[in-house]
Amino acid sequence: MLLLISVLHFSYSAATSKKLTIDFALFHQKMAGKYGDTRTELSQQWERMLLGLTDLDDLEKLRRVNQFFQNNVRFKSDQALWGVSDYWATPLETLGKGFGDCEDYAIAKYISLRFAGIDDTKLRLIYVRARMGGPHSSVFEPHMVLGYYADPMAEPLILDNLVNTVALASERTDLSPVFSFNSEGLWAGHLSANQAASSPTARLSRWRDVLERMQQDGIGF
Amino acid sequence: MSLIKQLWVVIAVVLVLAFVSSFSISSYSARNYFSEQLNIKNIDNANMLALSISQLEKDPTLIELLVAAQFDTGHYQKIALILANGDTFLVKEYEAVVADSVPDWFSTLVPLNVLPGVAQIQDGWQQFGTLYVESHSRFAQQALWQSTSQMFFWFAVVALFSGAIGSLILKVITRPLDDVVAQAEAIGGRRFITSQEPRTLEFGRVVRAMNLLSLRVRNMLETENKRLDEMRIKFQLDELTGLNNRTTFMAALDAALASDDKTEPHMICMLRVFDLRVINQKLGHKATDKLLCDVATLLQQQGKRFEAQVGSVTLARINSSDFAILLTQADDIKEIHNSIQQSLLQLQQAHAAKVNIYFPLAATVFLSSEAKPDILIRLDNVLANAELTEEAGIELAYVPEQGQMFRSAAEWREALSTAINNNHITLKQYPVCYFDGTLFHSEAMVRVSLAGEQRSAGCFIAWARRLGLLPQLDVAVIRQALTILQGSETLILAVNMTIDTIKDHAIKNTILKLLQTQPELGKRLSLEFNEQAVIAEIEAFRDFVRVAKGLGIILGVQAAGNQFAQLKDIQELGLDYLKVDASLIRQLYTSPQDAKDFIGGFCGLGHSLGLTMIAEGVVDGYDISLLQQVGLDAITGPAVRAG
Repeated sequence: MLLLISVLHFSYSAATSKKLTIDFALFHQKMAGKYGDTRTELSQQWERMLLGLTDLDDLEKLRRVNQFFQNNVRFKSDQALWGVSDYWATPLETLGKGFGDCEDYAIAKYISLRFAGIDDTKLRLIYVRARMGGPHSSVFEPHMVLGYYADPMAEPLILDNLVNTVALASERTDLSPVFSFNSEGLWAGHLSANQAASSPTARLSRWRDVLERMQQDGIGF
Repeated sequence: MSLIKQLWVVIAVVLVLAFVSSFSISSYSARNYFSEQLNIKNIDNANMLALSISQLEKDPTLIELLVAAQFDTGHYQKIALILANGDTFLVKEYEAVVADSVPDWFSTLVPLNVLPGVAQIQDGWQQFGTLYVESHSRFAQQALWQSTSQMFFWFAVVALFSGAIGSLILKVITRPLDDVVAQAEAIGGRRFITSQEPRTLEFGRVVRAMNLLSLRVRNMLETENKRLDEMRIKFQLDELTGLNNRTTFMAALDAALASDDKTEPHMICMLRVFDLRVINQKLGHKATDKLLCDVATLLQQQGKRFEAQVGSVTLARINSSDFAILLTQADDIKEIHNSIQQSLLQLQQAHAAKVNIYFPLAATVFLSSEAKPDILIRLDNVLANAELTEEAGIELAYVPEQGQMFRSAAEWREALSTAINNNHITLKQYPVCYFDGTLFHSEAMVRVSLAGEQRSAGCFIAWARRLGLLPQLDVAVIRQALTILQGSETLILAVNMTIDTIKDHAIKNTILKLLQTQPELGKRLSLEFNEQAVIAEIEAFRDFVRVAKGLGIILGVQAAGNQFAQLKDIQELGLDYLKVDASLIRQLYTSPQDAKDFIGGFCGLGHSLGLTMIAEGVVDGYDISLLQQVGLDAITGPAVRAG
């Protein structure tokens, strides 16, 4: 009996995958299945873009990834696109639809940069308060951007769907940061990413839910 | 290992497997559930705290207070805040030892692997640090331990309960098996019994097959018995009266004379229907035949009456007008003679109106040591005298000269009881051999020390029977036989028993207890009963055999053959051997053709039941090869002693 219990003990898997992997074949196949063959062209472009990043420095990676999504995805609210007030889309959905809102951009860019080899500790998805319509406007909206920290103490570079260029945080006077997060700590330890996210309770978290869904598209942590 | 044990092991193994697997799975999923819940709590609390701190001015005191407030009011093992530059800003850790009942081995065996919740704290655009939150897992471990032990308890209860029910069901299912095995063993022990078919399909089939076998044996036996009996009637019996014919009677007389015990007293009565020719003329053929049959019936009644008092009774019509009665182991000639005479007088008076009938009656006692012609001449002389007087039955008894040891019944009783109680008994062994000379068993003949001398059965058996002391004598003999067996490794000893012994419940139980105490010796003890007695008390015999067989006692019937057809369902008894009556064996030489057919058939019948067939009373001058030829297996008698 003791033997059986110890067999049921799951082995410790070193699931702290620093490098993110993407099964492009599966990704394209899913794309074709869900959004039609024509959309695979975009996913293949994405693949080519990502594979082309290998030897570049971090700043260039940021620029190219940012540019790719700024060029290929157009803004549309979740309500208009998905019929719900808030929906976090996976990169597949974002690329498939060709539309997305702020967090969809941020997520897609985050995944792309992680794939390009940028460490999780350098990236943050940041909730910000965005002033809309110029420096003197009093219209604020909740917004999300992706921040890049060259080192822990550095001022971040901000990738924002509202502007096409990658800019230093200090240049973005229209944004004020509220809270940031990444996927650190989510799948360290004995539970693999798959198991942690597969639990229905864990999926109550939007963040973990979207991470789980993208694993089904071939994106592995 | 027995089938039932094996099935029980299967049940136990299945139960243990079910128990272990369900218990393990439950514990495992419980552990996972606890781990996951704690992990989620960690993540949520870390994020909440990080969110609060992110909004604050980064005043160290304030942050410390916030963390401390969270830590102190919540249930945490550890909260740590690591600054972005890698410095530790704050670590709060629960240090008190939590008293709980979780054994260490359990914590080691089923650890809760709960990941800390990790959350980032912002200071404006800058990273401030990373927050690590670990909830206290002891309470979870405690809950896990409790639920696991409870689960273990209930699973164990259910498993034990199922085990009990399983065993019970097993018992019900296999109950018919015991009966099947019992029947199979019975058939293996030559007891061809039938039993009720159990409902279980497979058992039913087996029992049906065994029943069929038993039935076939019974049918075969019935057919064969019928055929043999017809054959026997034809060559042994007088056609008109159904009594034995002359040859049979002479063979019986020869057999009595061939007895090992030369002191045995026997008795013959001979009566004549006087002037049968005249009667025949007067009454006519038919009425005369009727008269002869009446005489036969009368003799049969008398025979029945004395059967219990003597060794055996043989009634015969030895020629057209003469009848004879042979009583073995009988010495009370006066009583028997009187009784017959009285009944003859009645018959005579019943016919007095039509015709005068006289029944001259002669009787004599003789010993086994005497010669047949002497006895017959003596009897003829007496009968001739009786005829001359033309009176109805004149008592003419001849009592051989033999010193009577005791004068009265009381004295006899006293002497016999003393001898039995003081164990003044010895057994003389006579061999029963196969044809190649090897010993089948030794037959024990009882000698009782009376009046200072060893006396053979002939001296006292009639008195012992008359006084009802035979059962006690039998017990003493068995006791003696067991003592003899104890002194030998291989000896098989046969003891002759009277049927009265097993009719008496107290005596029977004494004997069975005696045999039970020495089960090993019992397997070398052979008990044999007289065929005539067995037929008369078949139920008592059947009961005894059933128990005795269970003890491994060897069982046989002696003086067998003359009434064998009346032994109903002998195939169910599981006997071991038959000793064919000496008078039948004798007839192999006096009327060889008929006897050969009959004994051959009888041996075939016995062999088909697995019985050993033994010829009794084999005397010098017999052609031993003839005995072998007709199918007998072993022989006993004076000729064997000599060899």
